[in-house]
Amino acid sequence: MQSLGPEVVRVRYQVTPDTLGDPAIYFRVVLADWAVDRETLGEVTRKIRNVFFDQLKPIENWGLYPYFRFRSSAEHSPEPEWN
Amino acid sequence: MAYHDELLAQAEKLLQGDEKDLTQADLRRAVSTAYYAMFHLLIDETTLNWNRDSSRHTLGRMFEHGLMRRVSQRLVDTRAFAFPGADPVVLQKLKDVAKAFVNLQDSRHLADYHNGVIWNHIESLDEVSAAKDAFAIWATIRHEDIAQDYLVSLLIKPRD
Repeated sequence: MQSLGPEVVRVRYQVTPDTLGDPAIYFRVVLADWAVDRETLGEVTRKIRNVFFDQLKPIENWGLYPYFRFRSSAEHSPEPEWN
Repeated sequence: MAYHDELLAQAEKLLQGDEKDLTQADLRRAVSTAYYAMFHLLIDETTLNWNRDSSRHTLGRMFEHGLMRRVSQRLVDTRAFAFPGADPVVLQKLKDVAKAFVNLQDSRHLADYHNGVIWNHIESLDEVSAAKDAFAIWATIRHEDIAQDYLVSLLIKPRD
């Protein structure tokens, strides 16, 4: 988690087929509120995604394509897959 | 303004204003529109290489969402493509574009068809931002050989 940077508060994951039915792993990433800025959000999440791709290598190691969803701490996330 | 740019602008517009006023329709349509912005960007960039103006729209109709996703997924699989000799900076940028496309397509599917999935403001904003980020990255590499090769490959079924 440390290599993800201070922007990341929490990560949850779920191994489940993607919308095409192919093997996949979904990462749900909660960001610190201060890290969420309309102008830089795309760049911030791109860097976080690349950490998962480059360090976990889910495709090469597990044959799972990684997908990502991001929320901020301030947003209410009652769904169990986010907690 | 090109159609793909209009779509991206529309996606951004759907998320403007007070987030408390945004509906699920706004949030989900923004995701879907952002995906289609990328979809049409890649198609337009590919068909630009076709000399005959009159045939470009027909060529554009040949693109298939699922094939484009699978080709893009293979691009980031280091087991499938090593890209020896490629400029690592350009290669990383191309992979970033491909990753954005794949994630957006999956999210678009969820946004358009899965009514049980609730979207939050930041989730939707991230998808639109990812598209905008990918557009900017693409603009810096679009004339590179491996970027053009990627475009062509979007029409070709991968061989196992």
